[in-house]
Amino acid sequence: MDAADGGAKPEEAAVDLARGIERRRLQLQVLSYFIIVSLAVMLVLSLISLSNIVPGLPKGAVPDLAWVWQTYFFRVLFLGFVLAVVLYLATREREQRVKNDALTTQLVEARVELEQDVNRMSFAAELSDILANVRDAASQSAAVEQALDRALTFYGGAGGAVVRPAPGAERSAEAVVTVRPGTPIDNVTAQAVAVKLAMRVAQAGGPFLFADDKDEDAHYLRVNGITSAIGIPLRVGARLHSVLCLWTDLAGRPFGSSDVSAFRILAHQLELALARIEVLSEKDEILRGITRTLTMVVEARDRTKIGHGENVGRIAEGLGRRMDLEPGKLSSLRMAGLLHDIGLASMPEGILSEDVDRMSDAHRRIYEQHPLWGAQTLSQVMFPEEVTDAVRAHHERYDGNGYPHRLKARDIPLAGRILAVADAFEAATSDSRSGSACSPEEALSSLQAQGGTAFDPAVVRALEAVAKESGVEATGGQAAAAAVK
Amino acid sequence: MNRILVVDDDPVIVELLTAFFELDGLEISQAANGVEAIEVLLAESPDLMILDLMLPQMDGYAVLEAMDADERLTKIPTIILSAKDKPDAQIKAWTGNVRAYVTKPFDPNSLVELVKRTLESPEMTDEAREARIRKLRMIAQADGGG
Repeated sequence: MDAADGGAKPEEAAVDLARGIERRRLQLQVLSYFIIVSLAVMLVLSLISLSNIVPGLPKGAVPDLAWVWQTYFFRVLFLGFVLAVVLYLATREREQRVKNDALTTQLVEARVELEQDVNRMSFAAELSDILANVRDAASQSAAVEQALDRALTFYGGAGGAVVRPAPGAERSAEAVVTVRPGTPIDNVTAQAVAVKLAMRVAQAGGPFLFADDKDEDAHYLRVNGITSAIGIPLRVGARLHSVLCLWTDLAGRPFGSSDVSAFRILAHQLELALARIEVLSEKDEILRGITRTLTMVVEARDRTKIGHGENVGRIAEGLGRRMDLEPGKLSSLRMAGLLHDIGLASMPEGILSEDVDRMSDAHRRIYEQHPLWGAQTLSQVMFPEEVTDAVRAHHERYDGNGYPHRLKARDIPLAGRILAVADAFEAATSDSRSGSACSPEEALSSLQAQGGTAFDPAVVRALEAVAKESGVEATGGQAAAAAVK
Repeated sequence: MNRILVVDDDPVIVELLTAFFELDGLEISQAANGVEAIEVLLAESPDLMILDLMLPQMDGYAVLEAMDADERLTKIPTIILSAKDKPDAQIKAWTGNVRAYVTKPFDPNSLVELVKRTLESPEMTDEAREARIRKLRMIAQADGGG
């Protein structure tokens, strides 16, 4: 739009066009009136002349005006007048046509601009969709890389990169490069190009568009088959988080200044998402701190359990990963593993020091409340619900004979079933009050024997897989069948 | 009376452990780095050592290596007390002298109990140690994804 006089808006152009058309209609009307009047005058004059010739008509019945027509003065005057009018109208017509053409061009440009606006807005909408999903991905770099990928698809770029300041090193950067298949630019060149772009963006302090041939770097890009490139800085707070780079090759439409404003919108949205992720990961960090502290509290109460929570957390997360749980659930499993016995912190010393197998019924009833107490304790803090659910269910048995709620099979939350296996395996392979550790092979055999009764067979299979990958095979025999309770 | 050597470059931890152990009637020697630790080990041959892994001059792993190589030191049971909580770091530490691995932050009472248990039965079979390492490998495998 900037090209057409003074940056008129599309709607103004349309109004102008309508006014032009109205003016022309009026002019045509005036012209036709004029022609009709001229014809009428000429007709009257000729009729009068004719009537004078008609025989039998008394002389003087019709005023003899033929002399008017017969005067050279009048004839020349009349013809001259007609000629002047025709010439005037022809000029006007031509002017109007030129104006019309200009208006049409303007309108077409306005349409293109509008289309671009719509495109931009639909991209922005798509982007907010992506960014909303990224919230769970938790990692800032994942957010930026996903956005880059979508931007490449949307704008038909040949490749792009996310350039981050290298941690701990000033004036150096690392680039994560995405090269779309079928472009002539290889990965190494793309790396170099991305870093060059990022440097220029850092210098310019804002979005940077490479289009100028005389620019040294632009020349470098041309030589490598890149026709245009855009770099946009992404900031979180005052810190430069990364630079987003996109480029086109001969096959694509080169980026122009209108694309820069589109990418500005993209950058703004991304920055908001990055800031949000940062807040979320701070919350995560706080939770981890609370988790560590609470784990220490549990281990301070039951001193045979040094490192138990840590190990159960790692194993549970690993089992969850093998069962294809999403990242959010995995971190919940880790926390649940660390905290599963937090309910023991409120257990009376007398009960805590007893062997679970030899407890009186009264004591056992109290002891079996610990998963509930644990869940209740955790619900006071902002732990995800999956964590409290898993803690509540970690002593439920697959066959429904567990505690506290005697849930059965799939009624037990999956995280609870996973936690039960991880807890049992870790406890069996650690020294305890009731005896010394058994080997991982023995523990695994025992768990296998109880798949379908105490434990979810699917979770036991995941544990088998982990064991096999690390060279541990179940002993198979009945030797350690009683090792895991 | 049993003598314990506490090796840590963090004076807060050394002070804390000294206070707890003395309360339980244990004698304490201190070392702030690996080189000092070896010197004290050779001079006093303590009944047990608490060893941090991240130490200036000579780190905990190097101390363990040196103990493995010197037959005067192979009998001294050692408890690792380290902020390194990754299974891989633990596997690397499980040499012949090591009886237990405690990660920081830790509960001092639990550590005292662990020390007492270890003093009561300082022996550990190779089989038990191997089992411990295989378990850690499994945990590392679970932890590392796959």
